[in-house]
Amino acid sequence: MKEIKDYTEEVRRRYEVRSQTRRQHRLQTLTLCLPLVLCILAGALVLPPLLACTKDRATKTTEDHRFSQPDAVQNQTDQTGKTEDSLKSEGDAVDGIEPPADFSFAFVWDCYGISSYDSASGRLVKTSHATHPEDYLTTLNLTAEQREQVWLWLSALELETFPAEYDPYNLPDEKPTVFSKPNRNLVLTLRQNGKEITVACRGICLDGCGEGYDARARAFLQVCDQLTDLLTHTPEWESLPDYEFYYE
Amino acid sequence: MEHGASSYRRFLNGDESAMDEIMAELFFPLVFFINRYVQDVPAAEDLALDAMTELFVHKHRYNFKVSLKTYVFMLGKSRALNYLKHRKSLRETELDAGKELAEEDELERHALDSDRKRAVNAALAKLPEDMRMAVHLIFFEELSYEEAAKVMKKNRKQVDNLLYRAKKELRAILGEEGAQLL
Repeated sequence: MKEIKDYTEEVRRRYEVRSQTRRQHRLQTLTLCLPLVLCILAGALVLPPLLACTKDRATKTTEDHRFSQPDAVQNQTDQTGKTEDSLKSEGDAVDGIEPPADFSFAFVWDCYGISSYDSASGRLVKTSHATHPEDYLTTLNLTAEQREQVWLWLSALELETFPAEYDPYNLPDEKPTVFSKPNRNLVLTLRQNGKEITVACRGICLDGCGEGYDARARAFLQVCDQLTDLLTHTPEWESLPDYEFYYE
Repeated sequence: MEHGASSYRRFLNGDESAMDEIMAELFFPLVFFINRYVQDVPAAEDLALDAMTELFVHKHRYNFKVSLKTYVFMLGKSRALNYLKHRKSLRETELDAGKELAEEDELERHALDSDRKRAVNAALAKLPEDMRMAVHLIFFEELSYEEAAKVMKKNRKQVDNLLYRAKKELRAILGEEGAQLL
């Protein structure tokens, strides 16, 4: 058996070795953790602005998409047939979005004779099929909010992508399978930035034949319905006399 | 509450010479105590060295609520039990019986300072482990009942009972004269 000083030396040696090992382990842990901590800190600093930026961009993209995709109009329809967009726009109509100065539109639809409206002249015709058609004629000047609303609807449709002659119920280049007798006409004209685009639906199925063969067709029909609704729920329209002739 | 506590405070304050004092006071008793469990003097020495190293490396684990000796014996006991748990896999060579006896004698000489204690120590081998430990801590190491209870992880009453029964056993082994040694 050794003397106590030998054991003390041995304890001292072990103490030095273990202390050094502990220091090394601490250093290794720090070396491993430091980059991790720096990454977390950097993430905490960089991520919030980055996320905010991404969110802004996403919002902008959504806005752009709204105006470039006709399908965007195909949002959920409420009981009155108005789209979510239109409902929203009625509330806080189109903040910061102005239609071009030369924007105007014309809409012709059949309902017991030909009805039409041209926002350029304000001419509103309830029907052309009457003994005295002049009794069914008035002037309607839409409010700025209403103009902007219509412009939004038409912009979202991208009328320039539709053919000049269009049937929203039947696929192009195929024999029509959805039709009715009597039938109806819809003619939609958009004028802005010096250009005029007209899409005419002639002899198409009456309202109630369906929703259209695809999303674009449904959007088109929906905009037509919204325009009809807007124009026929004005005091000017309501002041005109009842139809003289009805479908037989 | 002494048993090296003031030396340990000095060690914590940077006085490394305090290590020598602590070692001088606690090392051999610790080896002797551990050897009660492991019955292997070199292993007991190694375990005691390890326990003492731990005391110095982990400087703030000892909270001065028990005596330093009690704390060191608790470290020693924990190491001894771990050692016994893994003894079969650790023990590779048989020790020379003669050498082992010589080492135990030498350890006894280091740890026990009187013939009276040596006589009791010889008889202790025949007692069950718990009684042996209780007698060792109270009689040889002069710990209080509370301190011995802490080391043995028992309560004071249990230690008291063990000592009472140990005395009866020693009386049977050593005779009336032997029991009076305690």
